[in-house]
Amino acid sequence: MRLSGRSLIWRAAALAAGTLLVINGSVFGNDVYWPFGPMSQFAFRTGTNDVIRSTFLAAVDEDGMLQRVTLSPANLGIARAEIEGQQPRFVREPDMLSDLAANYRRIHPGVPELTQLWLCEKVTKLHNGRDAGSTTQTVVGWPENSQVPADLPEFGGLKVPYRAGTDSTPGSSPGSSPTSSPSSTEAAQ
Amino acid sequence: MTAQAAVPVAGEPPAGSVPSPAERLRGWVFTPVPLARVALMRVVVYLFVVYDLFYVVNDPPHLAQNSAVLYRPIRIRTWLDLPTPSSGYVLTERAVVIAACALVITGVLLRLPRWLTALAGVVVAAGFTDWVSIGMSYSKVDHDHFALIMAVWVLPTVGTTLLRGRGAGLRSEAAGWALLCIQVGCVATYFLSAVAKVRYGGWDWVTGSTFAWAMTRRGTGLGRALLDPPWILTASQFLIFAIEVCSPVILWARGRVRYLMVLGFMVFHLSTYLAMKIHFLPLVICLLAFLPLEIVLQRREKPVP
Repeated sequence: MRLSGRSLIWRAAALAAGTLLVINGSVFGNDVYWPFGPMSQFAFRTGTNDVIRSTFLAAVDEDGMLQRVTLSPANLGIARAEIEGQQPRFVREPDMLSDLAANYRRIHPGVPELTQLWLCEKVTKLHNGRDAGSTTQTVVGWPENSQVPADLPEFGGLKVPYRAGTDSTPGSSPGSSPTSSPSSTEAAQ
Repeated sequence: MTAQAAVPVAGEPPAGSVPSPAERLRGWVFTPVPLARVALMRVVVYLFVVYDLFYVVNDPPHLAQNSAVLYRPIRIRTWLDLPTPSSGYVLTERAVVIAACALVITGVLLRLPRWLTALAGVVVAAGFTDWVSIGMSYSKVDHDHFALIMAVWVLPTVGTTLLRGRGAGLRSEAAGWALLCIQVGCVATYFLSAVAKVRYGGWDWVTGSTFAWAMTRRGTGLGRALLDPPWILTASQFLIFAIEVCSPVILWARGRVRYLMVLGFMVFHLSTYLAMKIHFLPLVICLLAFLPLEIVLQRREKPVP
């Protein structure tokens, strides 16, 4: 079944156009060019002595229990990488964290509401490509832009009573924590 | 392939004539392939689209409930003036896409009017592209869907393809072009990943700790076990960069080399899945466009004497 001349021409043109579009996106474009954007997942370079940042959410609920809250669409309406992609906005407008508290209230009816949230980063230091230990840094808090308590439980659903004034990094003032969050490219995954 | 060879190829130039360069180019871009191959590809792709809606890009129903503040539309959504997603919008869209997928698959099994399956195919293409673009519009953009998005746009152009019966074994240039487009989509994903690594990471991307970054953030037990000693992941970076750079070879490779390359890509995706739960299944499905899928039918359907 051979194609007519017209059928051949539009198909050849479409294939050429699609190929040129995706090459253009890869060489000159960015993520918003999707589906013709650059294939940028894992395309950034992490140096062998750099730090690896991984964002997580800590919160106190209305019962006064301190806990970690999994950043996933099913649990909080949005994924970790999506929060990381917008992290600079959260730093500029801490009130945006109230949207996450509202999501949690909607997705988990009947569960104690979250009344204080902290966007935090687990910062893993690399030394010659090896894990040289991790620290926790507060990125931004809401409604109080304070530091996350040092006795924050590890992942696993554990909750501990919240005691105010147990900052993880005594001496550092809110907002002074590094906000050099991964760019939207680096936030891949 | 004996069953195919027995089928007359309508309109082919007489055997033995020397093809001109234009004919040779035409023979590459529009290689006539059996319609049954596209029929099978349609079954796989449209079943996968339904799977994708629930298990791959399954977050639009969650995302649509977010405050509009968190919505960061990609350019295609603003250009086409697509709405800020709401629950009703995404759930309706999902139902429409599923119904249209069912219609396309039915059109592979039974003879339906050509316009009906083509229309259903276009509805899937538009609806699924919109759906996935919503998933990409909350500031995290993935590139695992490029080949699949191309596939849903080109598959409706082939016309009627039946799994069996008259015409299934006919070779069609339209079918060859559609499959080539999917193949180019796969190769673009690999090769342009290497281009992006050089663009964003630099030529020394391969000696960095990017995979350590990935394993530290989301590695499985196996993935974390690969962190030490660091040379394991550095070697993996060299290997994957080399695979991506060499990927266009598959467009010209034929026979066993091509099938081994497909297997190699699939092993690569399986390993990233085992190490960090990233599977790139939408791309894996599209790799099937490199295979003579119709042989699974020939075993059961003997050629008519």
